[in-house]
Amino acid sequence: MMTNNFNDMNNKMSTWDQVSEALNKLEQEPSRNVWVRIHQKKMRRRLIRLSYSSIAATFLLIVGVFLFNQKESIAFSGYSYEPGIEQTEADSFLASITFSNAHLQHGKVGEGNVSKMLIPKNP
Amino acid sequence: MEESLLIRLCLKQDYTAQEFLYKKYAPRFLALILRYIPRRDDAEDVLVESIFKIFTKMDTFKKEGSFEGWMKRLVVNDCLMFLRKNKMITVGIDTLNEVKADLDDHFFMEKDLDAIKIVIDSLPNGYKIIFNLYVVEGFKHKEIAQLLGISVNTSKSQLIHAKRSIRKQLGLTQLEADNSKTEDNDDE
Repeated sequence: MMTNNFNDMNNKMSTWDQVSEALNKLEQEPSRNVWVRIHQKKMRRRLIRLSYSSIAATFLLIVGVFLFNQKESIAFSGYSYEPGIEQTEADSFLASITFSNAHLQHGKVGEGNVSKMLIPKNP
Repeated sequence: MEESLLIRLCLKQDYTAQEFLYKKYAPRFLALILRYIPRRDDAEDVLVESIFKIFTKMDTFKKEGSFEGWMKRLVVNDCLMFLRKNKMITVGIDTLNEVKADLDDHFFMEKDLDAIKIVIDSLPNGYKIIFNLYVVEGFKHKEIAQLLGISVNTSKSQLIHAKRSIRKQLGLTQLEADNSKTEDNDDE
């Protein structure tokens, strides 16, 4: 399916410029499937982009759900409780509480040491 | 359709505008590709890749030169990439001593394009690529050197070899002696 639209094909030429001009005017009709292939390539690219977007959206959704679930609960686990470092009153005492693996808000994990005066609720 | 409008519509992924652009330029680009890649199937593969690139990279066109020139450059780059990938670029590294001495612009007397085209197509790949880039596409030797990773002098010497080979094959060697003239030294 080759066509040549250059009308002056049989014109005689004697300079490189004329050759250049003539060659630049040459045309070759592509096969019909070329445009279809370009279009398919465009669609494929769009699909790939779409799937990447869906993967990203799913990931964000999972992270969002995880954070939302973490918001309510502040759980302390694996802490140790050491009473009676210094007894100040008969029923209350200064305690040193050591945290480790303490799940805080926003998915953070805390650890450390804090001193608290503990007073019994029903002395 | 006006070119700026065509670009704007293509950027908006307008199907009709893209098809219009394809129908207008694809035949010219395929002829260009066939100058470098003679196998039609390969040439059409490169055409698909180039047109697709034109559509997707159109936003990088800065309107400094002509739109057609920008597209042509992209197509030529794809051709060279294909040739490089398939190890079809074999540019010799010889440089002529008489690099500045080229032949007169009038290279032969009244030959028709068919005959010239056959001779150009039969050139060794290195000569053909540089001849096409310089004479047909209008690249400067400096640009050719950058594109092919060769020196400017190699580009010049290969062009001289290519022109001589064309003249020789057209039976015009006698003109060489008569029409020697300096050229190609003002475009570095």
